[in-house]
Amino acid sequence: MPKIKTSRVNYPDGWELIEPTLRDLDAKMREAENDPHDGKRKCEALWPIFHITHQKSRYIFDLYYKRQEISRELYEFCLEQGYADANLIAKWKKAGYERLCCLRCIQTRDHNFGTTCMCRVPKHLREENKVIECVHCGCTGCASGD
Amino acid sequence: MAHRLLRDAQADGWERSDFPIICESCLGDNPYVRMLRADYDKECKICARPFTVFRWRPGRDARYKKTEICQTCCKLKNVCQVCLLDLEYGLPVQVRDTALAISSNDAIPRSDVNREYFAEEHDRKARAGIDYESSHGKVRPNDTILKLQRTAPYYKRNRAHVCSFFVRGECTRGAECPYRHEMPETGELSQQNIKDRYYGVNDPVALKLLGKAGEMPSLQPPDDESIRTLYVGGLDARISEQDLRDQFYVHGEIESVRMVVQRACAFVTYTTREAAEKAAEELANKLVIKGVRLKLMWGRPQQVQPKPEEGQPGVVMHGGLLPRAVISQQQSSDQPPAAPPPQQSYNYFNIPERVHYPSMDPQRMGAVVPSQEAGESSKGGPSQLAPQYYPPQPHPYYQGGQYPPQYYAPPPHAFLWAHGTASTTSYAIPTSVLWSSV
Repeated sequence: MPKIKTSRVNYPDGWELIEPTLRDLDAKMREAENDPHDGKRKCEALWPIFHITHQKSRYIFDLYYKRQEISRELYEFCLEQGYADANLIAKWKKAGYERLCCLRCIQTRDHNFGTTCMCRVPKHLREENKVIECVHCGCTGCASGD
Repeated sequence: MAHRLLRDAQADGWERSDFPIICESCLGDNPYVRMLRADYDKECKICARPFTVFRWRPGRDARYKKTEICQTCCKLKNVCQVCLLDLEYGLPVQVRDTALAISSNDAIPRSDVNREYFAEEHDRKARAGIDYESSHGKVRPNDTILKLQRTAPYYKRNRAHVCSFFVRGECTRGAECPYRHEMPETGELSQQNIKDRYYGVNDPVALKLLGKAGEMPSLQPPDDESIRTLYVGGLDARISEQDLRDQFYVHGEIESVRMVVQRACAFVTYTTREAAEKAAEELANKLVIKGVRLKLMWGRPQQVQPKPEEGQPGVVMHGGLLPRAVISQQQSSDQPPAAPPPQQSYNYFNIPERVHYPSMDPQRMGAVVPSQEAGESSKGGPSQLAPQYYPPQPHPYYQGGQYPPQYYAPPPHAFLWAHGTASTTSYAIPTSVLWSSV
């Protein structure tokens, strides 16, 4: 039989420090995936998924870019293993998108008139006291000013 | 394969249009509107043929509206594509047809194949430019329809729909719920059917409106036979005296038209009582000038005060003059009725309690208060000198009664200035000339 190459995950240093939090977040994600959909709208059932993805990516992004507590090697390891969304983090590095909720809300192809989602509008530019939950991810406002 | 199907469909005569035919209310109050256009998106609710659907939001607090019927159907009845109300009058089809005695109903077939055939024939003729007989633009408006029509756009119909979860008590969305949290209207009017509304048959709103029209009260002439004045309310800045004269001269000779701008009303007096009655009868519920619906009522008689020194020809009782004396800018023949006691009149003229300057005190500015003899002699001075600066016309006014000082205060003031300080003569004179021409 030909030699089977198996891949084995080699955890870089510093992994032990972040592993518990990442495990908890993964458990949260599994819970959200298995939640029953009763009493929720169709789109509302997907909101926790986007929220937890945001949370996980935020954790790793903060550790590396803001607090600088993990090494580059560990950071890239997390991205490759799928603990964070690299595309979302790429947006967070841009001016004006520091608090972006999800990638769907800035996709102009997905919206009427080629615009972005309502949650991207800063609160002071909307009408007074208008509470919204965006239909894609349930975000109430992810403009950098708010 | 899909392409071929679509091309065949277009050859089939499905409707394609570039802009919807809609009424002002459905278009909304915002002059900036973003509209989506989707060809062959939905079936017409009447003829079930595919047509171009337009979708837009008519204003900030409105729901999204879209065209419901195709343009062929809408042109047949001259209605808005969304609300199915007449484009000119804003009335349901049944009301308009009854009021104008149009009956195009028999011509339009309603059963399946007949309807499709008719719609297509019509469409084909319209596209070929053949002028089909439509009586809609050519019928002259008659009284009833003028009484019933809607003059201003009605945006309440663009509100969001009622939240059905709220009605059951289960709305979990709370503050962000875009639907209205109100109980739905119940009753006869809530059972409407689009086909009934379009064909003008058995439409509850139309029946209600027609019922009201039948009972609309006509203006009862007042018992006091000498009142020849009609009160016109709801005036706007756009409506001028000439507009009023144009509307009212038809019914008889107008003696006078007095516009009271600050109360948004006017009083039209006829020379004969019959003319006034005729005008009231004709214009009762249909007075609309420049798009503004005006209210017409009989004037109320004024308080009579004997004024022997007023030898004015036009000063007969003006029905409808309110007790306050307000002078119109144009009419000089109109005399204000007289006098409530002087103390009351001061409230009307917005006289401040603390008088800092002579110009704030009407009596020092030349207002004549007949009960105060002492005051008159002191004002005799300026009023005697004043004629040199005035045209003779204002003289009768001085003999009259109460006058709002603001019309007459400036000239004497300027006059006093001119006499007082020689240094200001150079520019005081031009201003006094300006004022005296009022």
